[in-house]
Amino acid sequence: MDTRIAVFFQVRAQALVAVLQELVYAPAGTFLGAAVVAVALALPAGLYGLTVNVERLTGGWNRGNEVSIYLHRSVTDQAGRRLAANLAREPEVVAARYVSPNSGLQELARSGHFGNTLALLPHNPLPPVIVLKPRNALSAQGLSAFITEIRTIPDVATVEADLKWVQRLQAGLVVVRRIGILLAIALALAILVIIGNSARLQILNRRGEIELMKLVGATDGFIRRPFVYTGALQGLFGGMLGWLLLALGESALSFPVAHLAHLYGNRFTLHGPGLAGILDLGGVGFMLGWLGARIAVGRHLGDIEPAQV
Amino acid sequence: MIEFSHVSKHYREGHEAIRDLSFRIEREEMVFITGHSGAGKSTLLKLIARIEQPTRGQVVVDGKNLTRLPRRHIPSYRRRLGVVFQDNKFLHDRDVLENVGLPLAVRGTPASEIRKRASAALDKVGLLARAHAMPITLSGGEQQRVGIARAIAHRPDVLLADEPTGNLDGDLSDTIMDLFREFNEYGVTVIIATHDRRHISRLQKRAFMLKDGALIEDRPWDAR
Ligand SMILES: Nc1ncnc2c1ncn2[C@@H]1O[C@H](COP(=O)(O)OP(=O)(O)O)[C@@H](O)[C@H]1O
Ligand SMILES: [Mg+2]
Repeated sequence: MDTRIAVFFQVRAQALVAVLQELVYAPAGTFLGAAVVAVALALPAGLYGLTVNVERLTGGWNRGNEVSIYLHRSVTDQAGRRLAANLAREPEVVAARYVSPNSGLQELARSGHFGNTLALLPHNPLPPVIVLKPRNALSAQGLSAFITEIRTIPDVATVEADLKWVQRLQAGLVVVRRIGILLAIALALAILVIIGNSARLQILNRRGEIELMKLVGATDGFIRRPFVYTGALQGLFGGMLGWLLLALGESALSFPVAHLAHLYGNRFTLHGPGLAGILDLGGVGFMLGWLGARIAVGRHLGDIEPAQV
Repeated sequence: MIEFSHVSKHYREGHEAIRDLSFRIEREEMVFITGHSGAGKSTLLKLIARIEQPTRGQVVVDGKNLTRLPRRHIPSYRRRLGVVFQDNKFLHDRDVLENVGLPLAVRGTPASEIRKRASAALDKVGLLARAHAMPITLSGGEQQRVGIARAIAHRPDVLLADEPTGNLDGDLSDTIMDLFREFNEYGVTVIIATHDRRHISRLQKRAFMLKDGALIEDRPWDAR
């Protein structure tokens, strides 16, 4: 059993060494495949990064967006205060202030816009209100979900919040993200085809050698290995190269973007792919390369039999 | 034990290369296959190596029916064979020693063991000095000897050789035939296709004579 395990690792290590040697002696082919993978991965990843940054930029724009919760007129001041205190304890909420009809009328009077007209009213037309300040980090979606929840409280008559434009932007981002996903799928398929085709060409080039290997009793797995390793390495290098493209893009844009934000009095800075992104893109490239080569080799290896030896 | 029963082979665009062939070769036997060019010698060897499949009849080796051998069992079957063919194929980016070691490499033999056994096989065919040459730099005769070394490096149970001395001059071809006989004496079943009847009388072994794909003579040497 020990020798079996040793053989398992040995044949794989030998194949990997052969592939790496080939790569060192003839890097051009590998680089070309890797460059194609790099662009195909960087495009959707860049689009995704764009949506993340836009979302971060607009996330802060909920700031100062107060939510007005109008209660039924029948609700007593005591009940209103209790509700406000309860709401203030919710994780989505920074502060909740109860404004009774009377104090509302006083605030209105102090604002001075209405002059004497308020004094002429036969009775106070204002309902009890809770003014609620949501947490900044809350997304528009989270906020609207929270508001829907508030509407179900029996004492609540209506809720008013200026969410429309944020919701539109969020919906727009969802569309862009969907496009990114479709693009990613299309380009992933393209990577499979491109890596698969390069594996197919290598197989045709080495037809005679494959026939010879089959003749001396090589299993399909043994013959397949170098081609699959080559595809996986192309994918891995392609993913790392794609990360490099994104990082370069970020460093080219980060200063102008920060400057622009500064002019608008904003401290926004661009978020790039980050060091961990090299693992994500490299990993995705590796798997696509492995899969593309594996499928192509599986399809074409069966056609080659040592009939003409 | 290799047994053909009523084997015929019809190539897709060609006439019948083997016709209703039946014979039995015991373990540790040595057999020559002779006949004119196009008689079907190579086809017969390819049927044993499971490179070709018969159109009719059955080829059974050590109880295994090759016509029904599942695809995934072909590699392990072929590892028991040593095969020398007329046009020798090589891995052109590997040196002679690595080419000879290929049948060992495909079964995961440790590298040091591969080097040792491949060197021993090259020594037997008198080419140890060329171990690190590239195959393309060898003459036709040298390539043939490298092919023979490759066929014996992994100590096969059955050795199949198609005109193994075709490119070699008299003395060298005798040396190679003696090597095959030596292998046979160690217990390897040896089947050699050749049109050179001189070897048959010199080594005094069983011989098949094929004519247009049919077996017209199968005699042990003693019966002559
Ligand atoms: N791959 C093939 N396709 C079609 N015909 C073939 C093929 N291989 C051999 N033949 C034919 O089969 C017959 C026997 O060939 P072969 O076995 O090579 O004979 P030998 O080795 O005795 O010269 C010949 O007529 C040859 O032309
Ligand atoms: Mg022939």
